[in-house]
Amino acid sequence: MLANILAGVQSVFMPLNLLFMFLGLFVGIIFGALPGFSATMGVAVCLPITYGMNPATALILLSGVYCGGVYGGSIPAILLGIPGTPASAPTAFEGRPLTKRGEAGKALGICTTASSIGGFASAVALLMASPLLAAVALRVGPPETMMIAIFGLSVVCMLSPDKFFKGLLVAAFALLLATIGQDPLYGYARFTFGKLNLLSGVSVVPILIGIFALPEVFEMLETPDGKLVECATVGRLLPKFSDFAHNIGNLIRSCLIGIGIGIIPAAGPDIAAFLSYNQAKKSSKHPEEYGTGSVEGIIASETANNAVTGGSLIPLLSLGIPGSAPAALFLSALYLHGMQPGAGLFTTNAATTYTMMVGFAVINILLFFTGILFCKFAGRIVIIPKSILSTAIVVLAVVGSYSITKNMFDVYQMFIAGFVGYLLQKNDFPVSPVALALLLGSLLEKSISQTTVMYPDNFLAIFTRPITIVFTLFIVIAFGWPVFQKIRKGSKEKNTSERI
Amino acid sequence: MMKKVLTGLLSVGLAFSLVACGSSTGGASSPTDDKKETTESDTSEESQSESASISDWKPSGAVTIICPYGAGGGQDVAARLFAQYATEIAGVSFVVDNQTGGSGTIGNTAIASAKPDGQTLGMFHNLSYYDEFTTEGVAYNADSFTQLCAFTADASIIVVNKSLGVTDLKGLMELAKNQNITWGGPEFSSQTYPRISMEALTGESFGHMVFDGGATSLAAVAGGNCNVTSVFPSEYATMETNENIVPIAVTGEERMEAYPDIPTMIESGYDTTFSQIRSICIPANADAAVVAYYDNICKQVLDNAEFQKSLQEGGFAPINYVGEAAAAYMQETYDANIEGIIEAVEAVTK
Repeated sequence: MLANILAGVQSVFMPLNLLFMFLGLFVGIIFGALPGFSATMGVAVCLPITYGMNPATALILLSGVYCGGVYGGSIPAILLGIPGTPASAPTAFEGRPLTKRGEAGKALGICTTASSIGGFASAVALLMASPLLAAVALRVGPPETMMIAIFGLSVVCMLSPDKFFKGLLVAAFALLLATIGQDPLYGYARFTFGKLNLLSGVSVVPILIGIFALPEVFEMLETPDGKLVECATVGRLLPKFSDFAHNIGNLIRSCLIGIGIGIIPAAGPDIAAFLSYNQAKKSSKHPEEYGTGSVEGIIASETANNAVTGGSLIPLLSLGIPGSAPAALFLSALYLHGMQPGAGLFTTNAATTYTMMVGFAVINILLFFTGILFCKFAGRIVIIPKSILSTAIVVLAVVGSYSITKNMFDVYQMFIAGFVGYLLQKNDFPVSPVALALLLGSLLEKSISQTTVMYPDNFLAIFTRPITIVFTLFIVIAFGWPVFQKIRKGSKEKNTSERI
Repeated sequence: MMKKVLTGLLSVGLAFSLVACGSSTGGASSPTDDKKETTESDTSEESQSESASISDWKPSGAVTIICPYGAGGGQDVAARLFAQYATEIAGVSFVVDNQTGGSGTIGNTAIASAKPDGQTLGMFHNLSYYDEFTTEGVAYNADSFTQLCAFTADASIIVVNKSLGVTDLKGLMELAKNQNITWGGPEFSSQTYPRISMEALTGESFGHMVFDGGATSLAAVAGGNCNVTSVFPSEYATMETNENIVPIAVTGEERMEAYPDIPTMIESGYDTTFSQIRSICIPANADAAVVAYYDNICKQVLDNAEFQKSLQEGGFAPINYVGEAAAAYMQETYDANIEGIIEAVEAVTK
């Protein structure tokens, strides 16, 4: 393996490969940064360009677009409060308040560094432990996926502790929405009213574009004059060492969550970001800072969502199962270049595979420099007059929603979601549970259906599976935590009042 | 002076033309020769008119191939390979457009309802013919598409988890009599059709586990989360070295060249076969000149040795049917499977 890695290192630093890394990162960041566009679209657009390329260079270009795309989504999340991709939604919770305080540069710098670290860690896992982690991925079956989905839903409790019941209500409604479409077991159409457009369920990404982007636009329209921030510069972009020195545990945990979620086929960067953000909040000494511009929150979210990139390629390269939507396009790229996922990639095509995997690590280092450079210019977006900015966001949201499946029905869903999101915000309902419930709803339903088929006579037999037991414990802690905190807070207050 | 030069040139030209006429018509000519000449002239006229009809029409810009399935799947890879070679041959861009959703019905509806102006083609497979029976609200049927070429016929490999302790299809069916056996794959897909046939043939039933695709089903079998699945050879190849999976039968009419030791379902004692046929189609009622143009392009793509090699490398089993032959072949497979599909749909809806 070492010889292959060394050969990969030699090949990666060829000028052409380096050029395509930068090009891929640049294209990816733009796709990620435009609300409504995504890493998946970036990879899809670049795929035909790679037909005539050397396979290693082609995969390097696509890797650059993938990493850049996942990172790029955080830029509008921080500057405008609109996540460029759903995976950056938790980043928006903390990044936007920092921008409002005139600390956009700090938020962007921390986000870029965290993304680079997360991506690099996943690249190392991809390079060193692919076969081992692929074996773990095989052990994750429907009962474990079901538990991961339930565990993910527990995040709702933590996302809005002050609006606990409102959050649960919104999540329950979104879970009901997620049942629209074909039944996962027999393919019955449910609540589709004969409309083929609803057969695969509601379109999650357009709805999330609408629910996150349009309320911001409506808010801008309430006071259409002026700019978001009057300051012309974003401030210092390079983060302080102390920001990360205090977050070593947070970084390691977020990397592990990202890589772990990445190797599970059904879950992607969005779920990883929410889970990691939630865990960081639980472990924080200052959970009260969350929602007001917490550096820890940005680090957790961005490290995890970028750590998914390398993680999602592990089952892809070893088993042919894409761990995320952009990874599925890598599968096409492999076949189009005459390569087949599986053991052969690490033997017959070792030169190409190791060049790509080493390239993945280098790309994530370059991501830091490209990202900082990009943020220097992108930061100026906040000084664009609101009237122009809001128009541009609506245009991008429409184009982005339409381009996913080239279907106007998705655009209508985006607008409906936008209006509903605005009404929810105006009435003090949290909207982030919608994202979680929509992302996890179908995953949960499908895994429950599969599990019932696996254990038709005794559903409780799922607790004979070790990974299921571990996740069950996590769930118990997750749901019990707010209650525990409430009791602890109550007893502290009681003690204080007794002392007084 | 000018007039003189012109007259001179014309005279020389006339002289040359007379010489030419003399040489072509001069000399004794037998009736047979006349006939031959006539035939040659007819053939040349025919080919001229054929090429005229082909050259009469050309795409006005990039041609879109709508693929109703997502990136990375067999349909997507096949469409992209076709697009790659068609672009080289036609000198016009062929762009794959993944319009996913509704188990392929959204994309198929987009193909069926596109203008038949030759700017939009579709990546199709024979199971989509049955959508009108399996999916509520589908507004297209077999007549909504004109098949331009069929280029792969992919049989599947039935794979079981090693812990079942079976090594052949008969053993699996014996076990199914006494035990809950789960069979995974996307519903009403080429991965589940072998299960549907086996249930129809033997009266046994399996637990249906629905997965997003063949690779995911195979991973579930390898991980012990599902007992049986059937996958394409390209999917099987990614995990063929895994010790927990055992291939027991192939669904095609003949054994696979890459896996000659795996018997067919017929050889295993069950009279059934199934292959997924992948084709390129155009919305029905396209102009004859448009169809002729694409027949020509398809013929060149399918005859291209590099294309055939790429298909094989991608794990596909190439076939070569163009134009009416493709339509007839697709119709044949439609007729062969329609009864089984309707029975399976009825069984599910009951």
